[in-house]
Amino acid sequence: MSYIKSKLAALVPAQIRALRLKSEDPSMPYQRDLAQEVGLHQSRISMFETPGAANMTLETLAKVAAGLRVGVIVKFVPFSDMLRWENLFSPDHFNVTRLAEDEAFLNPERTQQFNGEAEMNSPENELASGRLDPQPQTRNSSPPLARSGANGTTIGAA
Amino acid sequence: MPNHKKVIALALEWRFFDFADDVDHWYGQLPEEGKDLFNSILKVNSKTSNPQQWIACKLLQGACKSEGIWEWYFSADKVQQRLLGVFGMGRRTAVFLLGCSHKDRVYSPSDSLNSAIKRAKLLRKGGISLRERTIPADF
Repeated sequence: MSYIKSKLAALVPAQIRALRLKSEDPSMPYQRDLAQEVGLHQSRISMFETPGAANMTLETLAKVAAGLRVGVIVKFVPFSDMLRWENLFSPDHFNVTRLAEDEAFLNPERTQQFNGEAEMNSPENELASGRLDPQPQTRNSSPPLARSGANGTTIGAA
Repeated sequence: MPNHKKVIALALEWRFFDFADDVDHWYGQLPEEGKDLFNSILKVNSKTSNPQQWIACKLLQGACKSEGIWEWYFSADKVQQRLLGVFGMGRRTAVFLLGCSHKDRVYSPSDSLNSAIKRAKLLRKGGISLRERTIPADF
């Protein structure tokens, strides 16, 4: 248990800090700015950003997420997924679309329409409707393993 | 091309060095949870280019500030842990001077701040052999 706890104790503060510092609307260069949004004292935000200092409840996580204008997922995963996620996580590159820019949330119909069009034109559908010859498709697609391998090398090293 | 990217990514990571064996001694005394947490912090911060955005890190005030000493702070098993260090000695490198615990604004051992200042001065003079701290890979 302590192993999982220690991972969360570093990665949750790192995410909160990264999102706070990248927030533009509202801008939150200081912990007190997020504290104001969340309705908590600045010292609590400081604790949330300090590894191991706070036992955050789901309610607190939800409050912080709302203050940052993002959602939050608490999801059980295999150990390997957890460790892979930790290896890939980088505060420099971590950012989340805020509510004000979240097109999929704000304009679900438009997004669905766009996704629908994309789906209609997908190679799978074209293949199913007989519009696409299966041979060239096979030739152009790279195996999923090779793609994830190349990606993993790049990000894993970062 | 992927190899080319890898080299760049590695060059951008921070590297951490121990001033002396007692940093390792401090690490050895941490509970398992503390060791895991410390390694996770190392891992996250090594990938954060701007140290002002590191988690659990701040520049100390007073005499320590003039020596450029910062501290990493985290809590493990309800004990506040501190690691004092300095930047420099090369691009994207940080040196851990010593580790200690902290309670009610008091460092333990009590001479931790003075020792860190002495070590920072020694480090600036040069001739100190440092040992690179490796971040254990979990996976």
